[in-house]
Amino acid sequence: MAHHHGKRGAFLSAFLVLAGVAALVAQGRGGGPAAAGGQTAAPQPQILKAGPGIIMGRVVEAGTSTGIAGAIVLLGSTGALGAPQLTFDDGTPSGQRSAQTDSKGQFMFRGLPVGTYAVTATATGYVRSQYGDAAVIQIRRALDLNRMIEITATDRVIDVAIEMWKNGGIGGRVVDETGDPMVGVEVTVISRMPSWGGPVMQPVLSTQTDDRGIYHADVTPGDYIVGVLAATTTVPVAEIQRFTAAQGQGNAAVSAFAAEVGANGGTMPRGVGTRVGAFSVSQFGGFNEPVVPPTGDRGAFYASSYHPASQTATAAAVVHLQSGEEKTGVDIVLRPVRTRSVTGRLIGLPGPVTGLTVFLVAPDPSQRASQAALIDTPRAVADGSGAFAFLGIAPGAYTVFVQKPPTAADTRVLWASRSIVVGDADVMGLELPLASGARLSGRIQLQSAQSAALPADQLKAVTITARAVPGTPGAITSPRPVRMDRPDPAQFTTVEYIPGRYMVEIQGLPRGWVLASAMANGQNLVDQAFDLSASGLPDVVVTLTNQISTLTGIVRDTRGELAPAATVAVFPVDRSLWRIPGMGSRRVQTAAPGRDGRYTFTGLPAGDYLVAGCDWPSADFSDPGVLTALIPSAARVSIGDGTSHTQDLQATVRR
Amino acid sequence: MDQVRDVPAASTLGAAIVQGVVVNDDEQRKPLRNVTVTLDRSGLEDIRTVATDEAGRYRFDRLPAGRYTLSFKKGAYISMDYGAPRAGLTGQAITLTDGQTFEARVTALLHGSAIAGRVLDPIGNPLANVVVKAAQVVSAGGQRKPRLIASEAAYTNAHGDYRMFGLLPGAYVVSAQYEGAIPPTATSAELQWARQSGATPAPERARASAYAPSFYPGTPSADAADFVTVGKAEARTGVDFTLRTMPVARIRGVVIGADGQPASGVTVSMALTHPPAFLGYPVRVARSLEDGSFSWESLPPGDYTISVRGGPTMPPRAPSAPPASLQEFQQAPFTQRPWWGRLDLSVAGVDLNGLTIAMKPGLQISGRVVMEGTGAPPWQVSALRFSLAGDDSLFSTFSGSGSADGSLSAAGVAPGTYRLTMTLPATPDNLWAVKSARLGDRDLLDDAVELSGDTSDLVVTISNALARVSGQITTADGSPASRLSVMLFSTNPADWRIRSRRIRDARTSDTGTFAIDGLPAGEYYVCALTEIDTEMRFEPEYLQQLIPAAIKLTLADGEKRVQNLQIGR
Repeated sequence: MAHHHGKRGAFLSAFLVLAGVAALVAQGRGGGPAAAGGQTAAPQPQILKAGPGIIMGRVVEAGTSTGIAGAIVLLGSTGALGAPQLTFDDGTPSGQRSAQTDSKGQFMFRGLPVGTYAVTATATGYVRSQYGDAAVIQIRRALDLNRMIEITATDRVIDVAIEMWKNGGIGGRVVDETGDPMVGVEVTVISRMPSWGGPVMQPVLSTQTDDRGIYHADVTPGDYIVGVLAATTTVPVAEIQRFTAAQGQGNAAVSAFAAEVGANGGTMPRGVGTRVGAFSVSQFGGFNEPVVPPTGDRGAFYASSYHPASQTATAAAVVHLQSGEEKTGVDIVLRPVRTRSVTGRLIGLPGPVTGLTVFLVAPDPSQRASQAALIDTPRAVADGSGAFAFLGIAPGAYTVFVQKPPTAADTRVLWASRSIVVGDADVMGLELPLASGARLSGRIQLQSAQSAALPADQLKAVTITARAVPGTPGAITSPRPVRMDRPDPAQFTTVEYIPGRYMVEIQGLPRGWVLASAMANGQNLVDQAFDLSASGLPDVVVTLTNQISTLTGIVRDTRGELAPAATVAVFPVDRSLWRIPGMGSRRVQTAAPGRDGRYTFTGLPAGDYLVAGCDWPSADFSDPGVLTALIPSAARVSIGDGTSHTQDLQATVRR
Repeated sequence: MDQVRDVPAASTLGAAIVQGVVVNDDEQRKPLRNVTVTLDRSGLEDIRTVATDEAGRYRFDRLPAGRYTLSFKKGAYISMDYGAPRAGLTGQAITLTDGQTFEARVTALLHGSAIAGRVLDPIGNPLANVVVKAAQVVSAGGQRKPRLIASEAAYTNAHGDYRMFGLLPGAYVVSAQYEGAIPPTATSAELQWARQSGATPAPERARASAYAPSFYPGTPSADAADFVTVGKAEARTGVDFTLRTMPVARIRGVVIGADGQPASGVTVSMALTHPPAFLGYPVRVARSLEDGSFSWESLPPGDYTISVRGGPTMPPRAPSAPPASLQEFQQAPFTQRPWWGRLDLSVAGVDLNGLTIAMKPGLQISGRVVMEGTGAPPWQVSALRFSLAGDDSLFSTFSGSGSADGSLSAAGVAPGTYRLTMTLPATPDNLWAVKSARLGDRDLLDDAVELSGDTSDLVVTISNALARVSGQITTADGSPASRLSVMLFSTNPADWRIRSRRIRDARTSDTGTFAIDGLPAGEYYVCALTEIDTEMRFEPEYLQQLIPAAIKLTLADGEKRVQNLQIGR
């Protein structure tokens, strides 16, 4: 058993790395306390003097006053208070305070310095919950706010309540075509969460069946599909031998090999699968050994299967799970499918390429399930000459896709995409000529009231990349963004991208500067998707400005009282700027008023906006329907570069 | 359309066939379908896999002549190699000639047993992410001796439920352990004080705690645990736990170098020495800060040993570098850590602050290598590495190396009692072996020797003319007995310890022959066995049991002894 499990573990991790999935995403609301992350720990902790502040309260079941005993409450903080190298004078690192609730759900933090804090609760069987989360919301959405608790010199004891929703459970049995239990099989739970107005499918958890074929998954309330994902990965034995040879040469050789595979977005040829001729085949889903029929060389594999009986994620039944609900009987029947092989060759590789992976992408009408689809996408590692083979392919329509992504050393992209239909026969001798990509180029201009200049190094730190719109070839795999060095900091040329629909993303803005626009052909490329043709897109003008707009005001409720619990949403008058399908919009934002009722947005790009305050706990502000409903109560404001605008609001109440 | 798919590489095509049947190891011996059968050709990376059909049949065809192994695996069943006496033991190879059809004996797979239950916290809430482990109880010489079978471990889910399966029938010690600390729970005095806006003097702070490891049916000690017994294919449910909490403590201290200055950047390691680490307490490794300080949080009660090594030549680690791993720590070049320090302490739920570990310069242990026998080994003395391992703790292992001039040295060794081990570079004939490691009249290969001062008198003798025992094993009718094991061990119980060079074993060939080389002179027992329990090989109780069936022989220095054995029945 140990051997079996160990092998699968290795395969799973290899799979996740190449799939670009950070990890099977943790369940729950938001990312936890707003403690400052990513800072490197200094060797010397600073002792932070304890303050007079106390945050106390209760953790209760949502909609009741029943305390939750044994919940873990985490205290996060921002700024210096949240830095991990600071230590309270009782020795507790400031970023890591936690408490356990007593039998009544009560907790307390003491000795807190003046500052702002986030309080988050976790408990077995409950959805992670943060102070200020609307109690009617069971799972955080794209624009939900992180509300903080302020400890001031005068207001130093804060009593809070945190409501927690119960998780739900999904359980069932996995059996084969004769009803025998399938043991030790990986069952993957994929959430189908709305975000920016459309469903996003994301694998959230995987769990193994036991000796009875039974699995159980504890997940947050929501919509799910459940399946056993069994796509094959086919690796030439020669590539495995190359990897083994590198291992024999020591760590440096292995690192170099892994770096090359990583740069190619490829697959490590670890040899975890079963040898079939000159190839090693493994299957995601717990079958390291593909199940082949009794006499060996021809035949069937268990194909991916979703509850109740579909072979694609998009055709799977959606399991709707309420808080506290236990859904049983979410069974999955695995059936052997008589499979074919698909073999071919990449034409036009500049030389041997390590780990380059060819994908067999199934059609995905939702176009939003790219991660979920890739997890269930057969893959084949090409050998040094560009030859590839997929074994164990179920009949159907596919797109053969490959991309050798750009790297800092070679900024070209080589790619191919071709539709095929796998029918009764093997598909042999596919020739995929690799095509090159296209670049964006242009200049960066500064727009500054005081004619302020930027030092060259700060200007060089600004990175300009393109992000493919979901559903286009450029979005099938998500290669790491590559930064291009710019000899002239005011000019830029990007790496190559696969021609298709993109939006521009700009990062590394210097402090005190914001992005005004990235214009080409009269279109703002950061607000609207554009077509990148094979000839590229020259003359893009990226404008940065240090004239930072502010929009602020006081929110009151209908009785004229300050409304610190309200949410303020700002969104463009022009609906076409609300969202790009599958991507957010920088022009749609939310803010939480402080205890003085004041809200503030800084750095909104110039344009005409609507701003509304509301007490609408269930609203998902990334949903165009919600924004539409806010229009009648919204105030219209015109934001220019560097303008300050004050707009007081009255929060409408909606339920 | 019946297309040939996945054609194996042409070089592996042949005309031999292996076929057979897999059944359930119960009274009905029902055929088992969908068993994964893997055929591996040793020496070549050529593995084939098939699944059995409804009648439990499998078949591999087009095989070239050669030597193969066959293994069987199915879901909840216990995996087996072909020809193994039982699961977990080495199987039997199959030798195919050209065009041969090999009818394999029927393989019976045993359905694994299961142990399941629930883990709760002290207030009755389910506890998720608890590691539950089953250690099989191996009884030898009438003594109970729990042996952890590492694969049989499971985590509890959100209901606190766990289920371990694929277990061999037998008796188990089942344990539950939750890693990590439990944050403090505010006391009612603290809550009361906070409600009064902290006006009165502050009450004492609540403390963090941890869950104590528990052995079924709820004892903190493995020795007091009940056995959980499962029969063939039995599922034993209701093996439940309620974990109790125990206080934890923080310790803080400072490392002072042999120069009297705070020692920064040295590796500080700590291991639990009591209670016995049945569940595998992790070794904690930290790195001292610029002021020489170190600290650990959330330590459960117990006895600990802190060990420090480092010194002025230790290259500083980058602030962002992770602390050295234990392995890195143990393998660090010896000259880089000539200072050592050690502190034993007891932790009992109270914070310990202000610990001081003063490092001292270690001992210099040096000497020379002497070669015996014929010819010269194909390696240089400078390629030799050795280690001095103390008996008392995990951290008392120091390493040394040879030099081109034939000398050996280890620096920075803490005073203590040590044995020496040296593994020679592999050579084709494998006849070179360490004969002795003498310091005065004591041999550090066999005896633990106290080192209390510098010495340059270490003499390590390496020889290719050590004693050898070889022979043939025959059955009562005189035919060669293949696939047997031969056990050879010292008659002196003082040599019965783990990895002793005076406890050796070998397997017989197809013609029943065996050979054991590189033996030191001395008196030995030798006996033939159908199988050797590798886990028990060095255990005194096990060896004691073998003596009645063994032959005693005395080997002189360099003697080549032929010892044939005949087995009964």
